Amino acid sequence: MGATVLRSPAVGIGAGVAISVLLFFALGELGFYSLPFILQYLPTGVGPAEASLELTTLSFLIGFGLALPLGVIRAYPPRIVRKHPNVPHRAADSLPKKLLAWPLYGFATAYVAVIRGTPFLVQVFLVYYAVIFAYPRLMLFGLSAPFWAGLLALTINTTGYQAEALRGGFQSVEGSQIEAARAIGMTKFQTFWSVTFPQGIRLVTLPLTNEWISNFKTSAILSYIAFAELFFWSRTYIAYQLARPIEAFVMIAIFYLVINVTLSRVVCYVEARRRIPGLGTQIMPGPHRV
Amino acid sequence: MSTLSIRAVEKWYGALHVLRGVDLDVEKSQTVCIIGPSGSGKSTLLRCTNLLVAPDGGEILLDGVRVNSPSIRPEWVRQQIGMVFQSFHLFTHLTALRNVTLGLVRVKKLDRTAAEAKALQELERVGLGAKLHAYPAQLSGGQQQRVAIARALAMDPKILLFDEPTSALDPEYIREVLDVMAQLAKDGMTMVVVSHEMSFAREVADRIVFFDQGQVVEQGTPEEIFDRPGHDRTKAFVGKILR
Ligand SMILES: Nc1ncnc2c1ncn2[C@@H]1O[C@H](COP(=O)(O)OP(=O)(O)O)[C@@H](O)[C@H]1O
Ligand SMILES: [Mg+2]
Repeated sequence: MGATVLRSPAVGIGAGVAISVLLFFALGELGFYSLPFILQYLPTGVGPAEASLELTTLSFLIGFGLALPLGVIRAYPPRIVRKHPNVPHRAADSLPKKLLAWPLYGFATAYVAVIRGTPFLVQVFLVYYAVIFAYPRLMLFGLSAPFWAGLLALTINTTGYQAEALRGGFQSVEGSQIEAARAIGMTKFQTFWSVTFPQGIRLVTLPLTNEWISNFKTSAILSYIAFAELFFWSRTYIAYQLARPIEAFVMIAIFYLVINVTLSRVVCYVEARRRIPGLGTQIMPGPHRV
Repeated sequence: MSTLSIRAVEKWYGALHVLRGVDLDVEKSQTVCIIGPSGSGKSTLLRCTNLLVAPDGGEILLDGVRVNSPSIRPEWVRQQIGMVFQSFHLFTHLTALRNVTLGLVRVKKLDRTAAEAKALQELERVGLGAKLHAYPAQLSGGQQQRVAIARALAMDPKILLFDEPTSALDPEYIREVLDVMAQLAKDGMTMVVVSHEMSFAREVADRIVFFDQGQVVEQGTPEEIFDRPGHDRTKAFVGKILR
């Protein structure tokens, strides 16, 4: 009974939060930073935090839509059909299929390689200057170049990572189940939508959550192109204008930490509640295990 | 006219000649049991029959119509020829009921109510009317295999193929699956069963086919094959499985 209570998720989370808060106040009391200052100026970060959240979530959702086809293309590489002299005949792929499959696969693969193989900082500046050169006075829906360049760069980036996560999910669906679907007369397309997709999505729920968190943290880099998000706020306003660098970065850490931990707890909880027996990512060991 | 006729079917995997001119006829409401050593091509023969893999030569005739032909959709053929696998292959993300309705909704285009009524009927037929909402991981091996049988039955196939349906089962679950299959045979289902279950082969099968090295070596009634095999290879194999 006692052990069960100790292992319940609420106790684990509560203990973690309590220790963090204690440590936070203890360091303040010891004079590492000014607690009253942090508590007074924390609310000024709410607007920038919203900007970060919106941009991250918007790019994540658009990125998901774009990553889906890329992930599908990557999950089903065109086959090299080796000809054997003993095989009398075999249905060849139709010409349009042959002409399309390789370029599509090549494009998707190159896209993923470029996104994952170059720093986000570089991607941001490339996109930013491209946007600035193309539309020097860009203004759309009351939003200027830093926002649109930031959204574009984040979307391009997260698309690559999500595509790779989805590819992994689709490919880890058991081939035997796909064969079983084909054996009752389902087409390849029906099999994908009814078997591979629903199972693959469940397999990548946690990896995609990690990608959202990573995307959120990465969005700090958009401060370099003067997009008014969290990091920009803490650096320009708190650190330089108010000359409180330590407090600035403690405050921004608080924002990122609270948002990321909340999201990952919520996803873990929902995922565990909606889990289908025998299917899904292994849950991380820890107090949130249900 | 036979329900299923396999004529001179050939299959190569690269340089490996797996099926070497297989001929086999299955009459309506007959149960044919295929026995033979591991690796002889039994699974490949079943998979060529419902076109899960394309035969490289020969003909598959269903009610006299050649079905391995470019003018016939393989999906239609697979709907007519049901298949039950050794390891069940149930859809892990769907309940027993949904496993059965999926094909009815997607392939047969039934609406949900009609599909559920049909699925319920088939699940009751295999004795699982009480497990409709269980996921595969919550079912025993024997129950999973019976769901797989219901899933195949629901498509109203002309013929059912079983690929070692009890080989992956713990001994205590073999009986329940064989009982379901025996009942199907009694109900007049046309079946081809790859299995080395002697009780089933002797009591249920109308005909035993001994298959070796990609060919039908010998076929006959259970008594002929098990008690008076004509071929040396049959004799050796039957001796091994009877022991
Ligand atoms: N997809 C495949 N690719 C290559 N070789 C295969 C494939 N499927 C089966 N084989 C080979 O074909 C032979 C017959 O296999 P199979 O039909 O599974 O035999 P059985 O069911 O009688 O044990 C084996 O040697 C096997 O390794
Ligand atoms: Mg086999």
